[in-house]
Amino acid sequence: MKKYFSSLSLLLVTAFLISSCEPSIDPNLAVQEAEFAKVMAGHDEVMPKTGQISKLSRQMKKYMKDNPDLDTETKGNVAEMISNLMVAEEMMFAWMANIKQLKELRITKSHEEIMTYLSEENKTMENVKLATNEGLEEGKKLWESLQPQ
Amino acid sequence: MKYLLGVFLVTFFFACDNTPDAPVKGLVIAKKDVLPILGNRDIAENGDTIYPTIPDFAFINQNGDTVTNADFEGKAYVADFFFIHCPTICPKVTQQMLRVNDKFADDDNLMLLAHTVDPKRDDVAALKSYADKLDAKTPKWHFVTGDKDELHGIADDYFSVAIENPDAPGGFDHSGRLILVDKNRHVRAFANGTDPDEVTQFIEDIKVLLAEK
Repeated sequence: MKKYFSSLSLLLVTAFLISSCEPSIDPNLAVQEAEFAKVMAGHDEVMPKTGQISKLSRQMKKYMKDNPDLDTETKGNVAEMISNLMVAEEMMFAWMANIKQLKELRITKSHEEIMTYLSEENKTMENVKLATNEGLEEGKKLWESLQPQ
Repeated sequence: MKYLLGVFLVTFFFACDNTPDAPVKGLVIAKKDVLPILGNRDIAENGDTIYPTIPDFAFINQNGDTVTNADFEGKAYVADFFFIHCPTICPKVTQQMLRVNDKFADDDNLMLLAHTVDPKRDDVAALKSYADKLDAKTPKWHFVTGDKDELHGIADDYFSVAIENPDAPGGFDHSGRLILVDKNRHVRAFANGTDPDEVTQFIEDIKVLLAEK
């Protein structure tokens, strides 16, 4: 009987230790992860377009170089568009350089502070998206108008 | 009782094992005799086939030295595009570049060339610090920076060959690719650098290329 109880105790201790290996789940973590995923979804949407922005601005720079006799108005329009495209591209790279990962945020910030930070980052990403989409749309229009009819 | 204690210890050990999953077993490695030259080819007036080649380049590496095609003369190399602050795929790709580096550490016929696409932030000092953390050393593994338009432009040249879908827009957004270039500047193979299994196949492809006479 004594042997039976000692075996049972050992099994119970084992079960306790195994369950103690499971990390305790803080419900706030899932909320933070969902918000972070939203920010990164914006990044995933914009990043391929940043490649297109870069390509379009390089095409326009080459066009300016190859056509030094453009009229002043066209020259001004193209130069302004190149500048807009480069701003949109830089916005994306600057955002990527500054975004903090959740792991890093959790060291120093409370849940509320993390959520505020992610909400701000979402707004910033929306601005990057807007600049990128507008830049691409307007840039493509201008590029088409520059092609020989 | 001793038996129970053994079960206890073994169970406890495995219950707390949090090591990452091992690579998928049963991965089929395709054995190739020769690697094709990739990309759209043209036919010259004299009937010769013209294969796409990587154009001339000149960038600055992590030591502040100029790196050009001449530094890769007679060698094959693996190229990739990255940036230090990349929040998504670049760390995974760099891990796979490390695998390639380790696998061919003693083979002088293979080099690695990592181009930043964010030269504004990834200057020589930043690249040096990054390379040191990876224990990446020249002349085996160059991390290069330079003029942004030139870096993005050459990314187009590499990726216009190394994409499955010819209608997909090129550019550095394909930065997850590892691209194998031969001593004649032809792209011979590529892999998704975020997929360890693809890179396992890619490593086999490199061996095939290096065995070419």
